[in-house]
Amino acid sequence: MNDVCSIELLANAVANRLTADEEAALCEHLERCNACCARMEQLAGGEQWQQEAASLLMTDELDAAVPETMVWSEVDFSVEHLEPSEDANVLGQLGGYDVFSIIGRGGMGVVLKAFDRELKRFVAIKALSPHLAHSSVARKRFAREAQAAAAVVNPHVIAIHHVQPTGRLPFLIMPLLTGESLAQRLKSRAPLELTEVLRIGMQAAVGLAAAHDQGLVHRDVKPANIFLERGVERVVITDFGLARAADDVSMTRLGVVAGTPEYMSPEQARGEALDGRSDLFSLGCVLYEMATGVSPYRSDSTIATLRRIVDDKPATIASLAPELPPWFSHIVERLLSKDPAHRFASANEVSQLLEQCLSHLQQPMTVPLPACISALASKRYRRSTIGKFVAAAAGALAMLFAGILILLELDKGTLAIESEMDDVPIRIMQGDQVVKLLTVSKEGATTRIGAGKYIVEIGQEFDKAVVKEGSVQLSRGATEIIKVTRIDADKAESEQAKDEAAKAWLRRPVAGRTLDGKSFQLTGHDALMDCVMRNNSEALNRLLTMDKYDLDFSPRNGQWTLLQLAILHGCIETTSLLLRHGANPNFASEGTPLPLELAKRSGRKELVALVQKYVESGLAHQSNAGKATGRQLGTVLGKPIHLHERYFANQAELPGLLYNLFVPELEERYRKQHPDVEPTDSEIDDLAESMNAGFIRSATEQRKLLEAALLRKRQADPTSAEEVPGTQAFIEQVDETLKRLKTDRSHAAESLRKLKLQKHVYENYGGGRALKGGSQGLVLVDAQQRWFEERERLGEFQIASIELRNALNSYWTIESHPGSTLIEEADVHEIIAASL
Amino acid sequence: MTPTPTTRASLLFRLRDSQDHEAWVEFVEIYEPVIYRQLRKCGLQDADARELMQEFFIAVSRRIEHWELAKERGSFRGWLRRVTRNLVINWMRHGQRRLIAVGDPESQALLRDIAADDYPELIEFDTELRRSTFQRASESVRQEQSSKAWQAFWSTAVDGKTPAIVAQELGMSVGAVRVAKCRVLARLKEVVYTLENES
Repeated sequence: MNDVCSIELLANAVANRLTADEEAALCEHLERCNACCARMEQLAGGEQWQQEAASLLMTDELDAAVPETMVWSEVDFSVEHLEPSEDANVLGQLGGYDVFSIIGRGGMGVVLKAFDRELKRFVAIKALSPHLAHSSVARKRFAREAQAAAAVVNPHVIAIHHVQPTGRLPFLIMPLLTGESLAQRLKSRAPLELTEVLRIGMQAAVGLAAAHDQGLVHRDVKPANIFLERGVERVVITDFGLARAADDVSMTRLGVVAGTPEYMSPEQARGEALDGRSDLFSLGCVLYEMATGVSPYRSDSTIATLRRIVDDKPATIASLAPELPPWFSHIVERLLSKDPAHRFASANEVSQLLEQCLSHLQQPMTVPLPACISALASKRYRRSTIGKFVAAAAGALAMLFAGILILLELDKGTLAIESEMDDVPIRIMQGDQVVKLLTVSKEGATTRIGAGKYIVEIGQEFDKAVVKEGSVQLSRGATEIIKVTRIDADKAESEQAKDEAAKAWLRRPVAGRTLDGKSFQLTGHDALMDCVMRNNSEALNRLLTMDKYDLDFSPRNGQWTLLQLAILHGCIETTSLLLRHGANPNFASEGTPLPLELAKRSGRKELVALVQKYVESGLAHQSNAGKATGRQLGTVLGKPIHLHERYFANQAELPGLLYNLFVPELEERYRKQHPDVEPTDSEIDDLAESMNAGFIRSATEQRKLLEAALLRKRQADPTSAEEVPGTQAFIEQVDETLKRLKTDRSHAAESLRKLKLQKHVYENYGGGRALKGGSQGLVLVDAQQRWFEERERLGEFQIASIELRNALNSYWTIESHPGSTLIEEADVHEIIAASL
Repeated sequence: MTPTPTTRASLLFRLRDSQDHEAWVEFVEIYEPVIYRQLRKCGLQDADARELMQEFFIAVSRRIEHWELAKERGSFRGWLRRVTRNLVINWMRHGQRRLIAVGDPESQALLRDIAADDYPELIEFDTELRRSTFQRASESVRQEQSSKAWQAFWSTAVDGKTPAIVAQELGMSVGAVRVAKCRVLARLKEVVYTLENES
């Protein structure tokens, strides 16, 4: 036994170079020798290494979220099969469509989300899988079947807008549906209610019938290919034709079964000729799965599944879901007959049967079960009351609505009327004809009318309810929902009054006058600024709490200036309102004091207390985005930036930040000019330099001009002793600009004309509302106010200020009030020309 | 079992061949967690992060060929970091356009809009990359060690249990636990070093 401390031994232990005996001895030694333990830890990397390893190996919640999906496949797909696009936001292009993402992919096709630029809508592109696209048989079949599917026009069959059979990947264009597939629905909540099973089954059968009428067999009816549209709960069968295209290739050449064996018919599994009844077998499987939660022929392997489909009888529905009525089992069993001749004759027959069953479920007393299955109807089944159906239907439609729900079962479709209140007289009109008069009440009312176009309206002299979107096209098998909502008289009146007041405030002639009969309307930030400038807290409150006009009345929009102005005006009410609506008290415009500082300067204790409260509150902390942004930008840009102190304190930081933000754009620009060469940093720098130059010019010139104005003001007022650094140079530059402008007389004349326009509009708008530029707002407000005061004396400076005006020009929002025509700039020119 | 050095010494070179699946699979394996975690830490939702991650790989696949031509631009890793950074900035800019104030010059609105949202702090790209390296290294070391030795290491070094407790749990001597821990730590260091110097 070796009980001696040996560094060499320890090193060998760590490097795993000990014999078994040596190791045993060392282990024993280590139990007694703390010094050797410490030495060994040192040899293994030491404390620091151990800590780093521990912290980096520790898993956190993000690890669990790291997707397992193979991103590569998408990249692979877009690189290999899409044409490149100039737009960096899209994966690429296919046949002129911008492809945004890959929605799904199966053995036969890839579904892409794409944008149709001409019609300006999103579409789904189904492309034949690349591995099948090599086969001319598959391509031809794909094209033929897609064209056949396109000919099927039915609300329950996916529409096909366009088929592109040629090109690298043949594809077809379909509408982009929102909702979920039946497979997804079953995954989240199976089994489904019987009414839902029947409704989905019936609508699917209607779709299949339409396809069969065109001689088209779907061949791959399964939950994943049955889509449930969100909201309307319309059932749409998707994926026509692709199964067949794959079939031809894989079945005949590779000896592999394509498609989803679980829902395949026996004749399909045997590779025999198919007709529409094959789809009925698959539909039977789907009904079975919807009602019981399991698919009838699921097995461990494809071969076992196929064998079961051909030979086995699935477990009876009664054994899995004894509460379901026997007649339902009977329908499914018949659909699952091995011999097609024993199934129903057509999808049409199935849809009618399911529809009648659905009617029976809703009204067991008045609608009998279809004769062919009534013999099997059992008295044990007592779930089919109106009440239960109503509850089920409401759940199924995912539209829980306050009040009662009355369903009108129509022989060719379902019209549901949901009402928020009792005793509402309803009139169902077809053209000028009254089809039916109803009173929606707790007792309920039912009627049967044919398919067609209806208008549902409230009966005479009833003004407490209103029908929303009462015009409805009821098609066979479809479910349409009409909503009747309550009009709360008091509430409606006060709402309306508030609306009117708000609208009036917005529409009121600015500065008390209209121009040529037209009035200006303030929107967004302008309106808020106007309220603040006028200390009109009532109007401000209205704007801040109003969201009806699609206008942004958030104080975060240009918040810094707003809040500062409110404090400068010493108006507690407006300050408080802005703070409550999220204006950030921890942020200030460039070169200006923080709100708290301003409040302190005002000497008003309550104002200080108010701002202080928000500065310290969690709310303020949360909205204290500036520092976070600084940190974040800093991290992104790889250097520490404290946005508040440094960015605003130093003008030069701004172009620097922007430069970094524009790098990708610059690279893009460079690539367009030199498609073959990747830009180097220095080349990007050069590009950025030219861009920066422009930016710096406009930013600093604005500032220079303003500071020059300030200086002149100070010169005129010797009590203002504070010297603005570099002012003399600024003034020289301004003079330079002036000289240049004056030599260009036409330019000067034009500028003067614009300036007059500017002045005119400014005066008509009043206040400092024109000056939005966020970070520069207060400086500009202050400066422009002074400038306007002094502009007579500083005659020439008017022209120089055109530079300023140019920068400000884009801030103007001139809109007429709703209903009148928009005032064009040209109109104002005219008005001014007339008035000058 | 040392990871074969040839696999990634040439990874960068091999990536230029868009047909080289293996290289791309490996590249994705290394960078997927890095980019995903990085993006999530920028405050992106899961779906956004996945989408942006997709963009990252697309961007790399499109530009990798050109990258070789401009070696003076710095390390491969630095370039990837920049691609990520640009994606994040783009996302901030485009994803939040709806917040831009009416009529403001876009540049200012841009900065302000970013300011208008409070994101958690970013974690350094390098840290994430190193994390990814550690994860891969640990996977490799775990496979070469006995499961007891690995558990001894994990319980003491990562979970922070005392050697005495771990020895009892695993039915080993305290000394053996200490040796196992140090052995794995040392081996991990080697593998991490190898992986980092390959790429």
